[in-house]
Amino acid sequence: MKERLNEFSKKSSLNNIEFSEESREQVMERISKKSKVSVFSMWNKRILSAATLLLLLMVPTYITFNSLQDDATDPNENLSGPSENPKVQSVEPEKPPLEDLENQYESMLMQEYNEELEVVNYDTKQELIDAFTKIMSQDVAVQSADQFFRVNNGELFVSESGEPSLIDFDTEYNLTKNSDKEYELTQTQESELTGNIHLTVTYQYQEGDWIIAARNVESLDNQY
Amino acid sequence: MDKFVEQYQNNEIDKDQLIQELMTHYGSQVTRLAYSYVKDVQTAENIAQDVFIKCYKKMHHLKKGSAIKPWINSITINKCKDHFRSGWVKHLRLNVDFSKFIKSTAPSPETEMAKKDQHDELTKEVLSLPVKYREVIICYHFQELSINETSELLNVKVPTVSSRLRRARLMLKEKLEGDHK
Repeated sequence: MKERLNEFSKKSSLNNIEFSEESREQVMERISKKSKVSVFSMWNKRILSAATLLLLLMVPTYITFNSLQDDATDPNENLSGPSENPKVQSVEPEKPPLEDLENQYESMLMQEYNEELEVVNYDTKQELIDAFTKIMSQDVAVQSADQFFRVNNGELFVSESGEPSLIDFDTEYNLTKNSDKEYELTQTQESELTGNIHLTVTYQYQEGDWIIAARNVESLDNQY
Repeated sequence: MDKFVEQYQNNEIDKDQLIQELMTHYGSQVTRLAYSYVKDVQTAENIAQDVFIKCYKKMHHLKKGSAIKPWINSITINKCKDHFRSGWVKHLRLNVDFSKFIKSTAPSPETEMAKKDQHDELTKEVLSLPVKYREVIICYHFQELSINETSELLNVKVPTVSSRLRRARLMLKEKLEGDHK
């Protein structure tokens, strides 16, 4: 296999793929358009800057003018009755940003480490867990820290035991809406590393943000 | 190739000339790398175009003495991953499906393009690997980068690159030997 792969760069049919002359011309065309646009955009920026400056000057003037007017009115007027209730806007959470959360999850677990596998940017598991909880629940944070990191003589190391199973958004997955604030994603994966697994990730909308609330990997081969 | 970048940085050639040179030297390589992700020639060419436009816009960020090839490769891979994240992919797949129903007697540009989509056995199997295994095979065996260069380019640790390469080779072996049985 290795021998075939050693000749892969020379013999692969990928070499039949070329950057066409048409694409080359399109790049130069787009570049020349950009240059023209940038001249216009320079003037646009100037106009926009002037308008912003004007607006910034108008805001304090308006506030000062308003406060002067308030001072001039009868203070008893304010006691005449309650003012209108402020409108409370309920913000409906949209769908969770699945790929963004998954990318953040992956980059958090792929911590930088030195030659001895010692984690560079964090000293303790608790620091890691605190960082993880920005995008995941406390339970998932603790579970991930325990599973993929180890402490030895008070130092934090990357565990060699394995990689996290991640959602592959290029292949089929199911997303179920449990409620407005909870979604569940499931995917079956098969790889050399993990065997046949069923991955379940629960997302919850908490305090204005979507987080990974639970993460379970079930082996369909009964292999661990 | 880096001499052209140096000439540009020394104001000996202008940005347009530099981009022309970059396209001559790296155009096909970028298109092939993009193709290894998106598996569609036209999409790969579009991504390659975007890569060179980005190079044009961001050229002043390239520090003196920095190698151009890893920079271009890294832009290409980021563009490919952005492409996967965008809804455009679904739209494009839909269009590709419809295009199968279009019939023509003369060889159309699409037919010519389809020829480029026909691959040898090993390439087919490499392209069928999951992205994380495919990209290490492409970088190491096709682009002929070292494990360290692959690690830097893909922003993955060196041991992870090694283990993914090992697993990818095993998967290929299994697939190819399985097919021969």
